[in-house]
Amino acid sequence: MQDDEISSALTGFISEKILEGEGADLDDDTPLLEWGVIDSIAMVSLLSFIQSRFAVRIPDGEVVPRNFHSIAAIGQLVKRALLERGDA
Amino acid sequence: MPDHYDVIIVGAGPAGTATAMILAERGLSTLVIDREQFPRYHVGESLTGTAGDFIARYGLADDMARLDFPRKPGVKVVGRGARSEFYVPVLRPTWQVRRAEFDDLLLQRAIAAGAEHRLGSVRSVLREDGRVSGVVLSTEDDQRHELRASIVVDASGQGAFLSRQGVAGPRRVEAFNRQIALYSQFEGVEPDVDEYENATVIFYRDTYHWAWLIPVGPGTVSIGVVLPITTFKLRGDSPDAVMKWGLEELNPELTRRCEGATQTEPMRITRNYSYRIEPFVGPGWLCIGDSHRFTDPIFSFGVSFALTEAQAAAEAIVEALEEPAREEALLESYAEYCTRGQDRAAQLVRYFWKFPAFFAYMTRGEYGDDILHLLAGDCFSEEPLPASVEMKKSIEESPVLERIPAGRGREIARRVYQRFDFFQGVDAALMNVIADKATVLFILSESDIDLYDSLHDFEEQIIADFGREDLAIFCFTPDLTSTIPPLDHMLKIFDRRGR
Repeated sequence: MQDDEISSALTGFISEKILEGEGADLDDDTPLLEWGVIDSIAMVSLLSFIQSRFAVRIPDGEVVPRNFHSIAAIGQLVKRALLERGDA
Repeated sequence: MPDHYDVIIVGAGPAGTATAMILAERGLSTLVIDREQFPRYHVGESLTGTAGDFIARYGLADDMARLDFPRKPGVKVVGRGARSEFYVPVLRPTWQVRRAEFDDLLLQRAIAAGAEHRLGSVRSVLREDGRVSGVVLSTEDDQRHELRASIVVDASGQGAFLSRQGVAGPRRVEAFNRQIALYSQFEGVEPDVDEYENATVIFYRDTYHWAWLIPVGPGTVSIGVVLPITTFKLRGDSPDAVMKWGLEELNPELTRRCEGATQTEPMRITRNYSYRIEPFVGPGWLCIGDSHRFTDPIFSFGVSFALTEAQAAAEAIVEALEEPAREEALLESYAEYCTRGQDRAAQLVRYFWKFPAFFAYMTRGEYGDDILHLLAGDCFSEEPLPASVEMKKSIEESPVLERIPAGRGREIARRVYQRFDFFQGVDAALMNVIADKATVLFILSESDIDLYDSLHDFEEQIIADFGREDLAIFCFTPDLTSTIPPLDHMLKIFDRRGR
């Protein structure tokens, strides 16, 4: 799966489902934590989106701030999970 | 009363009496002084695993059974709206204690070991040749006594006696937020059962808004509601009104469990904030527990850390009295030990508040065991656990900071980033760095004097650490938003306006 494909899927989900359509200014480097985009509820729905969309499970130990600072960071996390599953 | 002791200890809480007991057992002449008659009420009923170790080591387990203190199986954290929860078991046997009885038990054990106990107020310290050499005590009959000691120990708790005397360093506020806690005892609260029976329950609402439920005896629980002072004013501004709000609105699970509850004790209220005092050791003196450091009480570290530090302090004192030439090195090494443990606990608490969305995952994943150990109070190990390394990185590092050129400006931004837990009182922090000139701008969500004061404390710290020159700090309350200059060119450290 291509980087930009992962990134646009994540951007779409975050701006439509988490920000309820108010994520027009969202880019790959927007700081999601510092801008208050991801809270506990958003985290649960984001992880379940990743699991259903990319068919990978993010291990609990990887759910740390440095992997969720931006869409780019989440994209890298998804990519690593795909690689580990063996079909990047 | 003799007028010279090996060690004089100010304060007969757990920090003071544990130290007194160990020193007296080692044959040192020890005096412990408190102005209150024991048993006396004290908040902080929950112990962690390291306190359990102390109880086992000093043969207090039978007393815990005799006093019928509930065995604590773990800590349950109930998330916002009771939509999630996680549970952390204790690693070693430990207890919930009624502090009046527990603290009195420790005092009686210290006396039984040979320590002397006096009721009275310590007014000041005696100094000789650059050393603290004793204290001035006034007893109830208004007698003034000059008492000398080889070592004076401050175990006075939040009174921070030696800091007030100008012997230890000044108190430095460690977290942005000032909190208020309201608490009392209740009957008729729905208990936890089976493996969770007598667990501590923490109910979470929002950043810095939480409640504890601690079973302290058959059918009796201690409940406390903790919130920022700004919210306290907003939610009724009186202890009864705010407790009512807490029981009804803080968390639905707390509300449900308290439906048939009756308050059985008067309401108590404490203002507290995290602080540290440095230095907290010096020639002829040292501080233990709250008298040098207090951190947000959410994980019940207070008594456990007092007991851990007391054991380290007693070891250092015994050796220093045997070899006075090594006193400075021994006390320094005691201070390093305390700071290491306290720093790791503070990181854990900071991480919990700053990244609530991540904390529960951390308790379950590869770091799960580390979190169990840290919550048990095992924070003092020589090397940090991997979870501590990960949390420290999260608290101090962010891509946001990398956008600011390396140097003084970025370090100021890092300090702002570390300090703020993104809570609702401050909506945004922005920064501009041109060459060596730094401008920091805060936007507050409320025009509140306590909020403003907290921010002012923080500004003073930045100025003290980074210098006043080429540094401008502005703070805008909501009524001043029309005067905020254009912000387009400024770097955002965080910005939660509109979220």
